[in-house]
Amino acid sequence: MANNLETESAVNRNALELATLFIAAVLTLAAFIAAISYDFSSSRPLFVILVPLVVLILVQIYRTMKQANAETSLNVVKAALGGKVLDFAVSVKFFILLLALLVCIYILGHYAGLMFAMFYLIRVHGGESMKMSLMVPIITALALFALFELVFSIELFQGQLYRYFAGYRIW
Amino acid sequence: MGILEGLVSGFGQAISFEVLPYLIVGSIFGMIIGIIPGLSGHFAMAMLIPFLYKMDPAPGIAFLLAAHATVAQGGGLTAILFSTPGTGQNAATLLDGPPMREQGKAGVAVGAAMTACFLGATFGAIALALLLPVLQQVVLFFGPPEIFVLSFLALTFIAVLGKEDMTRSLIAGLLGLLVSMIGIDNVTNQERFTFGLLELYDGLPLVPVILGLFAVAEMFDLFVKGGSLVDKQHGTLSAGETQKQIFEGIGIALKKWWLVMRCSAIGTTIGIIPGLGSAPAAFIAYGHAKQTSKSKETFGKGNIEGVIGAEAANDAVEGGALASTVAFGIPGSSSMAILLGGLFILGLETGVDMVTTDVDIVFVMIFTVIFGNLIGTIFGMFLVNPIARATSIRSSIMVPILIAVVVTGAFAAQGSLFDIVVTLIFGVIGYLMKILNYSRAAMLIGYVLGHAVEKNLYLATQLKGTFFFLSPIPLTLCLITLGFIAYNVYGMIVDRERQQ
Repeated sequence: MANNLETESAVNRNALELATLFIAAVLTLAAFIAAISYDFSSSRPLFVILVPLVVLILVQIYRTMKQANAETSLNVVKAALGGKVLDFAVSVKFFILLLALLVCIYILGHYAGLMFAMFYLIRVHGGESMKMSLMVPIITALALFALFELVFSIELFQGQLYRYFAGYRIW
Repeated sequence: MGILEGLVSGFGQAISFEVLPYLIVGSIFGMIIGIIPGLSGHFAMAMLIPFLYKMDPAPGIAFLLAAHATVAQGGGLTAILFSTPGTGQNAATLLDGPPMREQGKAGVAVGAAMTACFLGATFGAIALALLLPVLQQVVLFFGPPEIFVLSFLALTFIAVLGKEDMTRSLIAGLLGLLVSMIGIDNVTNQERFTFGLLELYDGLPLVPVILGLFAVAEMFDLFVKGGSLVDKQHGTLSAGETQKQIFEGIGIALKKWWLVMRCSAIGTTIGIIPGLGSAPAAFIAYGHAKQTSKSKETFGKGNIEGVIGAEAANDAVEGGALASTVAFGIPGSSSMAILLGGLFILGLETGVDMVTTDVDIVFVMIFTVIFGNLIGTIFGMFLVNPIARATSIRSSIMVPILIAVVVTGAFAAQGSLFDIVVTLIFGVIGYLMKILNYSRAAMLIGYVLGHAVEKNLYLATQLKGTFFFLSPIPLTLCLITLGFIAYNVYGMIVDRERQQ
């Protein structure tokens, strides 16, 4: 059972690495092409970096391909994109939550956005009690306010909603 | 500034009212981060970096370095009390710390570990002070061609000697260098990979990159794993009994001063070599302690010498690592790369200026390492039981709190929402690198070194032409780099053939 899990994890990791390396290879090649159009003084350090980088990425793709079956890897990538690989699905969920946090901060402002997102993470995702879910975000926001605004005099983002009601042009 | 003058000034600054509070807060913060498994020294430093924008050099350095200095102490506590190393560098402490706890001597092990940490750090710091006159002379031989080639040598060392696979680490290091080239070229005014975004004209901001690679990536990991931070909670001793045992442990560590000195010397020497870091130093020191012990057979079953040796080497590494960072601007680990970034933010230049003009700043670092560890030891001695409870916090509560702090830190550095976006993107990259075994340290070091690499390549070609690398020192460094890679590739091929 443990062996099966380990094998499955290795297959998933190989597939993820291959997918990542292919994306990295495409981006690196694009950077290489872009660098050709730059002034020589500006592109010289880029070539010093890009030439060995492209070679190393290709070597690593070759090494990974030797360990992984291409068809299996493709199936794993498809399964991951379909939400069937648990760890990948949880990671994507976390990333979406972080993006949502960013949107909350943009609209509601730093403190309100953080408190809202923290409440969601603690209460809905973490399944903690209502008391804990309310207490932790409020205490954290107060601590951050004291530290940043009072101690370091750093004003955090007030949010578009506030700016709109304060008469700023936000669009 | 002379060395004696720098020493007096550095000491004065380190104990001043302007610096000491930051040193104390940094030490306590580092210790708590060290205690929490999964969060390490570079995480502690990454969290503090945003505050540096509002600080003067001396308090900023004390704040940052004190946090880093005490992480290993906190990690040692967790290794002994919960059989889980708080940080990777405390893995060697697991060999004899938990068996001592099983024998009811947890407090003795904690006391000995804390004292060994403090003595080791002091040894490393004094070694750095003694190395300063030598560094002042050596650094004069290093101009643009030498620094350019040295940067690649350092990256190669980190890639080859690091715990990750060599090819993957080299890719990470080069990606870091590439990422550092984003923005407007200062020499030609050429826009590079900016996509017309005004926010990218000055390059990718340092703080969000550090926070993303090291802090957000850890959050991903904690979120995916879930549950409590340590798998198994062990009963803690009563406060009175713990204190009694801790003082006994301190006494034993002081009695074994010669072992502490030897293991600290191992740690400091390894610290100078980029890429090796604390964990190998601790294991080598552990091996040395075992070899030279009269009771070898009890190692692994709760021998206090095993704890002392590993912990002394752990903290002595910092002195050596600081030497190459301040003298050449070449960081040997991710923590030193963050420190280097912090120095840039504080407006300080490493290299000749640092070891000749800003000697007082180097001594602030030295005294911070010593005082930070002393504060950590005192704090740890009296608050072992309460701070050990930090490990029982569930990730469902810990992750949102840390995310709030990280996001706020990312924004506060420059007051830009774009920085939060960069943090999230590098968080994903950092997490991918973590699970795929790519060295995040190599990437960060590449990123931090990028500006130096570009500037020195430009200056070297202007000063000495295209074949600047044929001068004696650059050529020697080039040959060492190539020889080092060739030797390791050969070793890998031989290993593979043997396995087949």
